[in-house]
Amino acid sequence: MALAAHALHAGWPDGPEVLRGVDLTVAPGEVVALLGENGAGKSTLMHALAGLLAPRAGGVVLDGRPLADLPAADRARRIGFLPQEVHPEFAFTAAETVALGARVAGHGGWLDGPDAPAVRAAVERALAATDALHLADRPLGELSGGERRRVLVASVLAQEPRHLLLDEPGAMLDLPHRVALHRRFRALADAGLGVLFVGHDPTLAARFADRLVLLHEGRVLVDGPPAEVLRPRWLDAVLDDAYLLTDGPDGLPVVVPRR
Amino acid sequence: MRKPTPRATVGLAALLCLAAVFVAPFVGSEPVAPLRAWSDLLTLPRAAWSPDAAILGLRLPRILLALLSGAGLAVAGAVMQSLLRNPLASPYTLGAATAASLGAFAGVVLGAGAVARPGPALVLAVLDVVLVLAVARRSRRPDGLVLAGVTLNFAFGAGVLLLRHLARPTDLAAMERWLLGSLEAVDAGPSLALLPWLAVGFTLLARRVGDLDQLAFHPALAEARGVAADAVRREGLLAAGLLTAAVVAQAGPIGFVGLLVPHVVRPGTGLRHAWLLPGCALAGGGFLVLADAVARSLDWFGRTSDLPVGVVTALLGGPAFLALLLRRSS
Repeated sequence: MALAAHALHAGWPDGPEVLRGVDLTVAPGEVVALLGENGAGKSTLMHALAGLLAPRAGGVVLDGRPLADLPAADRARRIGFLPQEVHPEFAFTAAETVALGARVAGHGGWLDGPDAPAVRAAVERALAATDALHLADRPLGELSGGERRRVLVASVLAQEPRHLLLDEPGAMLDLPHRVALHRRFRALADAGLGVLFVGHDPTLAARFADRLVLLHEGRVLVDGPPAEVLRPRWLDAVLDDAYLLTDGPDGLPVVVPRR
Repeated sequence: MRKPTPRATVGLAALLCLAAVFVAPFVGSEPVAPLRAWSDLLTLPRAAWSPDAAILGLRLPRILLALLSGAGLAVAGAVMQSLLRNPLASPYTLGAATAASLGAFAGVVLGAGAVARPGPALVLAVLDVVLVLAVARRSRRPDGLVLAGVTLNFAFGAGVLLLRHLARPTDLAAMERWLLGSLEAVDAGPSLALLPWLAVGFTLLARRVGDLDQLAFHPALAEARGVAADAVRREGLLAAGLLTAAVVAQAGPIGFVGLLVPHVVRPGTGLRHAWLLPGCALAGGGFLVLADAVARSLDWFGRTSDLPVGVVTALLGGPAFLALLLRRSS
């Protein structure tokens, strides 16, 4: 029941090859954090895992079947994907945004808005999960960056997928909301979902992910439990000399910026 | 003030449309007694009609053509704006209307009658959409679509100028009038010629309303949600091009309906196309019927011929659109 990339080579159309043989598995019940420097190929990998970018070699497999063989509608019911940047052009409210996700899970049809009986409960549940219920009637364009991000995460949660792929879900969120969001990922994984998120904070990722995956120049540098991955041997390649490593009060490694 | 529901907005658009259709026949340079005209029209043979009924009989085909043309242009504009996620997209900004004009012009110069005119208009409008998409895809700029549209608009416009230069003097007057956008129709012929194209366009779009909702929000998210983005974009723009070409071939390039009407309707219906598109069809049809009534009713500087409706839509639509822009940015 896992989502997996096998010896995956991929890149954007007409562009150079970004991923050069990536192996990665996200199993149900797991939270996996994908870390790496800018341009390492994290977003490319997320798009390929979401089925939006065809592999040039190797492949992506969902529940033992090649992802490409799965009808798009089935794929959407199983994998929820949040791209790194989403800027709607029109004045969608937060509730309308989440209703678009809820529709994938079968809550409501073309005519139904977020207030329709079939949709309302699903929309409110998803918004509450990211502490965004009070924003329901606000247009997305009027929200702060962090608030908008929480609404977008809610819209993907509303799809009720089996696997969550989130590209920098915590970007622009304040610390309490970032921690709350990652606790939510933990709870979703405990309920049986597979969660893969891209992040830039190894310290935070170490506290909420079962595994950290370091991507470097289109390849997986290391894939393992946080205590094994957050070591100078691996971090030097990704973080250069910009960090210090120490132990946190909870016994897990802490990455501190170096002056 | 509470936000209107989509249902109420579409209902209101339907009422306005209905009111426009009932009021418009009795607006014009000649006064008409409504009851007398309708009762004659419905009960007597044409030879026995009173002058009132005769005038009504002349105005009805025009109103029908306005209704259908407005509906087609407004829906085409709404779909273009949603698919390109650009509030400035319309049959004009993308060049489709000018391309269709060139096609219809070419038909006139080559001696094609009114029946054959939509043919070349359709070919060129679809060609325009295909070119816009191809150029935008290669340029990879977010504004590539509109830039390509504006460029092609100029190119097709130059073609129109060239044909005007080459046209016979006898054709020139008719072409000139048609180019301003005119709904002059002596019978139901133009409307009947328009109807099958509208039916095809609307049917294509009706199958895709759910996908249009997702695409209008965000293309990558839509694709992740199972929408075949490329296919829907192709089909939707083809349908919009078809609606544009069909209307332009019959009524000329009438401006601002496709740009303005979606902006007026969208705040009420929201971005759900199952409401937005019918709302635009009704409001667009009603708006053009009213604009044409205005064009007919005023004695423009003592001239005997009616003002082309394209002038009225531009005079009403231009300032209205600017006002909308200013209100939104404030």
